[in-house]
Amino acid sequence: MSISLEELTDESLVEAAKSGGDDAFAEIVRRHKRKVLRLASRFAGDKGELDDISQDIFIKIYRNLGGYRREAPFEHWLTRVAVSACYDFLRKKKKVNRDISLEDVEYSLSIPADEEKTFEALQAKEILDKALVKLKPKERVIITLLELEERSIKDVAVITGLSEANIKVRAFRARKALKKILGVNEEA
Amino acid sequence: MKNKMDELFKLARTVEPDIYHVERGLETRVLARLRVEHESLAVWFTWTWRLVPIFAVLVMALGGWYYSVSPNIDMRTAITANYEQSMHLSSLMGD
Repeated sequence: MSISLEELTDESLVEAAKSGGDDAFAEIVRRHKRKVLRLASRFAGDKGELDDISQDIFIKIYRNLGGYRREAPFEHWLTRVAVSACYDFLRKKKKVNRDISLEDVEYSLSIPADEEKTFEALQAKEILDKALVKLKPKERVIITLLELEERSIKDVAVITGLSEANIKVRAFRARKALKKILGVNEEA
Repeated sequence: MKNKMDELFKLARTVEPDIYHVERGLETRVLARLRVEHESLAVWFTWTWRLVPIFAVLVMALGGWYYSVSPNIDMRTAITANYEQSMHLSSLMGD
């Protein structure tokens, strides 16, 4: 009796993919793409970039499958690789974003209170996206994981490979920089 | 009063990312990219192996040509020349 790929565990799929099983790797992508895309969408500027980052993440995962030891669940390892690929992407992109004007951000800060909630949320996201672009790649990754993905400091430390103290310092700096970019007063 | 920035993060968290269009067929695109990478690597390896006999023939031809243009080379003399010289020096130095 043959077992279908859907029934296999992540770890078994990894073993199959390591020995050249393209179908096994396709199943890994199928299984985890939504999670990866949600994370990548925090860093992508548009759909084209989202497609590029998510492909890069899975290519990086494929190339590093040999480095996966079963010490932690595959999903944790996958998240680490995904965050690292997002960071690489931001570093490459950083030079291009240096000249973006802040005018849009300042304009958008005046969120109309009587607008619909969805519109408000979309606008808030837009403001944050534009402001986050101004941060250093590492700080952006950390603040995104903490504030938008709502992960704990301990979790972020494991994912990024940095110490918890380092995460706290970088998060503090990132918040300070964001406040400056957004023109938010400490007293507000 | 709540921090304006926290308010922004709270609102932004409620936005569902639009991933539907990218999600569709992602595995196909990833595998296609991997296949292209494998193929270009395979082409490189194939050419490397194909060139091995050519280089072997080239080395042999160069060796033959070098030997044919200098037929007076006596391999044994060339090898033992240094040895004899060093023995001679040793005897002069009294070693």
